[in-house]
Amino acid sequence: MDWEDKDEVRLADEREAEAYEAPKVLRVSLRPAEAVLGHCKVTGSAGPVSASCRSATITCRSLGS
Amino acid sequence: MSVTQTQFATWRPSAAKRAVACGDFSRLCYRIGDVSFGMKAFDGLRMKLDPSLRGFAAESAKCDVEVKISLADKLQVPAQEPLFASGGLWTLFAEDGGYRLNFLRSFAGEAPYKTAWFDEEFRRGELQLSREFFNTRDAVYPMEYPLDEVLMIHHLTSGKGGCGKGIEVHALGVVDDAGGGHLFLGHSGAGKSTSARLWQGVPGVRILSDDRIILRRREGQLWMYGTPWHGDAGIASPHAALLTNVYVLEQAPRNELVEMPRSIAAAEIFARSFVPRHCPEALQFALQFIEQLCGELPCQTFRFLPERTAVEAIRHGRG
Repeated sequence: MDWEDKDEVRLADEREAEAYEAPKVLRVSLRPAEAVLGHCKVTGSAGPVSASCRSATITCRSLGS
Repeated sequence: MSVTQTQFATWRPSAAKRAVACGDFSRLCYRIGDVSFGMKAFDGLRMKLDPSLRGFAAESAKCDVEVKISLADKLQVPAQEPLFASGGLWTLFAEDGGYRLNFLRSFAGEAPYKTAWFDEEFRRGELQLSREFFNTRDAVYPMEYPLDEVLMIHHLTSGKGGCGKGIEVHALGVVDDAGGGHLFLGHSGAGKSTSARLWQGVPGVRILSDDRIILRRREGQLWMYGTPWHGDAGIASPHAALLTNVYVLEQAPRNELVEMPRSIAAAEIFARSFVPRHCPEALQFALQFIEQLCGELPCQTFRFLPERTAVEAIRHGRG
């Protein structure tokens, strides 16, 4: 195989390979306090309704998600 | 595969809504996402279920997760650094080959109002309630939020060898009159409860939850389960259905369904999932679960108007 043949093989391989696409940075909305169940979301009946947040003995001050 | 009403999970919650007294302890069980939880209370503690859990009541001598509950004098915060601090209601510590969960109000310097130790798979645990806050006179639901939900997300993803059972997601679950199982993911304020109200009353439609859904694989297929942890619409169903479509909710001036590339769908679902973020094995399991889901089911952004036309857009699969 001479140099010319090798170049043709290489070009054919490149045509078959997928075109390069540069990686993209994607920004995804994350709500940390929601994601870790760190807060109650109890105003009225919103969110996981907890006795701890309504109880007279255990008043939660951790309203959030 | 089409889904019919008869393909809902066949188990039905029993009428066991009150604790059963057995000698020196009382017992209460519930089942969520096909995981059964058994509570055994000592020291004269009286138990009850939260109203939203009553449809999930179950009876079983041996549950998937068993928790012994007792009263204790003043509880302490462990001296070591926590594995994970939620920044709010709960903190996690490593202890005796398992984990300790402490629950505190947001009052500086205050002792925990309850503490629980669980084994590494979150199958067996011991919960102590502080006598400063609890007594034997008033019936309590010892697993009150966030413990029941924190326990669930750890149990689902903590199987040995990274072999979890499923994941919990921040979503509305709807089964339409043609049997389509629609999962609408969204952070707080995205429109899950609003959408649930739009679907309510549509003949043949069943809503599983307007805030929290558990996803599990059963016999090779993906199922979604209702939970008691509801949103503003207050919808909590113990039923389950086959999952057929996944959407990320986005409020917009008009209804539009936009296909999501698999990688973006996986990222968006993960951002709306409840996974123990301190645990590499749990994270790996969750990411694999989500990746497979995105490869099997259509995932779309649903830009929607909060009106009845949004329901029709989904039912007819058009934007």
